[in-house]
Amino acid sequence: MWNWLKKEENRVTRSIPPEEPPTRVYAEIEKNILYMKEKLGASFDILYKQTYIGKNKAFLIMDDGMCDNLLVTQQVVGPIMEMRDVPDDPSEQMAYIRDCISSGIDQKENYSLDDAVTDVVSGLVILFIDGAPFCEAFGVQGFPKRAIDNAQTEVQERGAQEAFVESFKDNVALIRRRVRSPVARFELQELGATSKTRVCICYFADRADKQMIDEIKSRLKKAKLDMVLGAGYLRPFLESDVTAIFTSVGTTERPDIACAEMAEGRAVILVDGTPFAMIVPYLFTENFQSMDDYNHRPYYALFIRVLKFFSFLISVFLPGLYVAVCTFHQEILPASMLYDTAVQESITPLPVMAEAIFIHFLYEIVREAGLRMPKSVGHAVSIVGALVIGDTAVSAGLIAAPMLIVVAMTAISSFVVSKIYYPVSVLRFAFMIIGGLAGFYGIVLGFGVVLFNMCAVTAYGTPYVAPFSPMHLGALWRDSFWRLGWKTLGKRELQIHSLEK
Amino acid sequence: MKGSAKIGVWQLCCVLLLSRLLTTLTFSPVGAERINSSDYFPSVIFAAMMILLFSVPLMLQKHYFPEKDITDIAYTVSPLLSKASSISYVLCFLFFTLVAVARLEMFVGTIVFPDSDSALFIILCIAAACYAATLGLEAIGRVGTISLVLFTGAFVFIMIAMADKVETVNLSPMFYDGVAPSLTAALDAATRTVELAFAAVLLPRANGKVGRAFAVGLLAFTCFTEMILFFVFAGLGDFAQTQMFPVHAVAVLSEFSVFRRFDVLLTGVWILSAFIKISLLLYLQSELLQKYFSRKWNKLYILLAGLVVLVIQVFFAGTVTDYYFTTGLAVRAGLYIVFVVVVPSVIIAAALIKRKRGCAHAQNG
Amino acid sequence: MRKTGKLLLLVLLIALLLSSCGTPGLELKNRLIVQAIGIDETKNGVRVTLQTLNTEMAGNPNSGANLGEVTRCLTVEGATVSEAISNAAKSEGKQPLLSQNRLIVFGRETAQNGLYTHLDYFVRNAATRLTVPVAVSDTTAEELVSASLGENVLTADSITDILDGARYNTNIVSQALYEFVNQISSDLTDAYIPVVRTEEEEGVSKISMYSVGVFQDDRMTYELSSDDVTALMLLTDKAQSGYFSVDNETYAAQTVLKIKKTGTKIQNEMVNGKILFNVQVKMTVDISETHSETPFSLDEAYLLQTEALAQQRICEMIEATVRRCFLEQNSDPFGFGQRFWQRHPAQFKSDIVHWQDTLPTVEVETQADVSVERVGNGVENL
Repeated sequence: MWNWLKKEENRVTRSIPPEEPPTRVYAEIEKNILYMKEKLGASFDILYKQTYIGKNKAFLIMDDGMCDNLLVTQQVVGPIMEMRDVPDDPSEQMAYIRDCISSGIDQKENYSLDDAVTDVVSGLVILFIDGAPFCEAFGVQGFPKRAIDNAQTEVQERGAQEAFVESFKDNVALIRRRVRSPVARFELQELGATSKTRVCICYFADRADKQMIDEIKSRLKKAKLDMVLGAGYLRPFLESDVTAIFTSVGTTERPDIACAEMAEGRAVILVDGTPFAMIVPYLFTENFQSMDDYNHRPYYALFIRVLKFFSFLISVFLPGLYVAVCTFHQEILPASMLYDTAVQESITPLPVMAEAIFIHFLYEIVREAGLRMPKSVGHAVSIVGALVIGDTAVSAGLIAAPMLIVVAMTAISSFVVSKIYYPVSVLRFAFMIIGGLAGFYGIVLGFGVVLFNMCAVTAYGTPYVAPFSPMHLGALWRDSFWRLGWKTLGKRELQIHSLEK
Repeated sequence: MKGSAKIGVWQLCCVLLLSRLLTTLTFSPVGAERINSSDYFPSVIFAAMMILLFSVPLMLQKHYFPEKDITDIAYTVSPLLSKASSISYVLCFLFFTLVAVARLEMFVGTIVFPDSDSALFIILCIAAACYAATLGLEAIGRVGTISLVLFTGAFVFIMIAMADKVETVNLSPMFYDGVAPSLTAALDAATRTVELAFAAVLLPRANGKVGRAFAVGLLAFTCFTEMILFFVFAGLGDFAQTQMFPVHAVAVLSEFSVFRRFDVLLTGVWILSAFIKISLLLYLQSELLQKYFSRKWNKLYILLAGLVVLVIQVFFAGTVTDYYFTTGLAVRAGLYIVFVVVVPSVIIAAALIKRKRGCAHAQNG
Repeated sequence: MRKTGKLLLLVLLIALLLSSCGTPGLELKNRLIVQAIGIDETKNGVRVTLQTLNTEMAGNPNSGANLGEVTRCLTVEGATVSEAISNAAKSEGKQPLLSQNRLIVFGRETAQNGLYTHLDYFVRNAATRLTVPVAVSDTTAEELVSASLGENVLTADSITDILDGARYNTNIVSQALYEFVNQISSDLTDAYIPVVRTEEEEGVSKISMYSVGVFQDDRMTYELSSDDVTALMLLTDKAQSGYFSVDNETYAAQTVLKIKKTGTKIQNEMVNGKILFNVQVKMTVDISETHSETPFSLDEAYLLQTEALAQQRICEMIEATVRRCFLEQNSDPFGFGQRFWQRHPAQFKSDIVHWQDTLPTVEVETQADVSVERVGNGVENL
């Protein structure tokens, strides 16, 4: 059966072509232009301008939509056109233009035609001169991009309001602005056979473990993908264990959080085209931390983190526990609650487990609809959700009122720790089924299995459940459920690889 | 990234302590020597002293062969001895897996789901334990640490809730029938499980000061057991000895404000601890089998061991596991002494003699 | 191997899930929620009276309709308690849920005939709460459990509320199941539980605690009166709060004292082959009420005299109860035997064969130390 599935898969896919050896720039300009035209095809946005530099034929190639036309004119085309007293040798001409004519700093030489093709579609202007065995690329990018906006998914009360955008260069600038130190390093890689997406690995050279950085680079290199359109494409390659329920690669939309993570010796990975940065290694306990914890007083940070942790437990276990208690362990219910629950459940047609699964599924549908639908009709979802689920279903006796309370509490709690919403949603259903089949016993076993799954993950040498296990009292004392005040916390930085066993 | 199969010695200590405390938790008068309630208190101290005595082979192993487990030491004597010791340890661990599963089944069938067939729950437990065992020693160690914290927290809660029900008048006079009952109970307690045999196999996999961890673990076991027995007998009196699971009865009694039935907490930590212990036992069997059979079949060994336990428990439970509960102290203690004291002592002695002879030959030659 | 292993696990999972299509659990709607159990012996076995919650509503509870009675009583018979309860399941079509049971009542005759056989079911059943109070009905358990106390009033609630009053009243005793079983199986201490009765007034039943029944072996042999119960509570150090009065002839007054704090220490020793118990009661009281024909001031002299009278009263009460139990009934519900065994095991082993036989020779000396803390708002009596 597995072989048949594989054959079917092969029928609808094709393997990513292997990398071909690079083609060197020809001395003859006609050959170069022919190669470029062959590679770039008849795309209307690719512009070719023929000119002469001295007695040598020259070509300028650019992608209209990706370049800033004003910069092109001011820094490249204009100065070249107005050149006087140029050398005769094509290579010397190229050097003269690069050093004395073009006013931009972002310039490079390409000896490979493939690099030249990539540069054209990346928004650089390429200059070929007949006889020169290389071409010059001028950085004049001016593609349309989104302005820096508020963070949508990580809202903070007191922190900065800036968030990452799609342009990785802007994102790098947002980080640089906060860490004006030469220890911040930003190393570029290109991934995706067709998309050639730029991926930037950011870290602090004096803190990040060199082995970890090399490991990240090596894992990214092994990602043989055709297109890389988002950070999620690369996540499985960075994760230490893809069968883990909770991911060991974090994401953030906020540059201040990215800087804080880098300061702890982690690596932040920016993917061009994605307004989210990935953080490795990422620990489970960080899902309950936020920047606001560090802006408020420590006692409030403690309160909020404990609240988040209990919200997480409620969102995962409450429905399953309710089902288990109503089906197997009625003795746990206090007497007054027992009577009300018994009366309410007696009028509903479905067994408790089916009722729980049904109502939670309905909630997920409403939530997903609210997320995808246009804002103009968003209020319809609220009305339908509130009236249909809230009022009518209970009045009609389809679901019991206690079940509705459980759904409401679960839903609200799950948004408190929104970073892990997705695995929590799935786990919730799993625990509902386990609770309905095997009661509290099954829930405890399920909890044990999930715990094992989490504890088995070691992200780049650091256990995923550190500093709880293996227990690091120093790290626990510093910044776990509570954090020390900044006068103590600020004296030294926690190093992530100090949590390694 | 820096993948290593070693764990911290404190993690190993937590796992073994959890396994040991599970025995205290599941203490049942069924099959145990019945003595006056106050005689249990000195028996715990005697049991700790016995465990210390029985751990001498382990200390010798650590001292003379720090990087070898017991089967590796046997290999230095002869490959055949190593294979024989490996297989015998596998059988021993298989037996104790069966015992752990049987105890869990007894608890589940008596207390948690008295009206249901417990076969489903055993299948679930073994399936989960097989999965957990495949994740390796690091996962077991980390889960053990977290679970021990949860275990301790649950018990502190239960003891606080039980505090107002304790009456020292419920206790019997100590040594009313002499010291013999305490000593018998001590031997019973000390030989109920074979954590020292686990340690003999896992010692080379632990980083850190073993002696200190062992001392702390033994002290923790003694303190915890004394406390729980105090609450059991001072709270319940002789009623405790009429209950299948006296510790569970204490949890049922515990109340705090509107919260009643703290036995839910106890049930939770019980199931979790049993699950971890069974996972550890399956893992140990796989580790030992890998030494002499193919290493790449480690998951198959776990699965096979789990299947054997499942089949025996579901289809033959009446004849096999009852044997353990009703069999006398002499047989249980004998099993313990063989695998914890005799076999390791013989292997270590033979290895030391061979090493000395080897050195002597080297000097003469 | 990997594929085979995955296939095996998949098959196991499917078998697991399909085998549980009929879930082993029983939902609340299929359960008979028992609130009180009454046991009476019959010629052929036992009669069990179950007070249950009525969860089958006459209408939808969310629509505000009148829903009917909250409780129902069910009487079933069987050769044993287990059989009777299973007959209840047969007749109702629902499985009884005993873990929410709040009260166990035995009929008077049943208690007098012996309770071991009936208690065994509750000790063995995992669903039973060990802290459930146990009581004896003045008549039959059926009469008590099925008493109608008014619309939507749970008899179990009422009785347990009364028994909870042991915190505020030294005349009330509450015994949990596990404590009762502990005592009943002890060779040294005799068990005791409250005797509760119902009285009918204008068609409505009223429940009150009548006395405390003391058990020798497992049979109820005698009962303790109100003063005896107070003495029992003091001797077992279970008294927490309550009221008692003293008559002051000098002031021709009756003073009612409220117990704020009380503690009892019992020491025992063997003197010249005789067992001696020294009971020291330390009590702090407030003056709750005074009755006199002439007014007087609550001065120091009065307070000192009140304290002395209270001390005397307590000693007399205790001595009378001890005398009654030890000499007249050969019974030790106070746990003196247990204490002696604890403190002097060697002497106990050598000198005592049967503790109850030794009771007539046991000496009990009582000392009370009562101090009045507050006199309330009034400095003179009215």
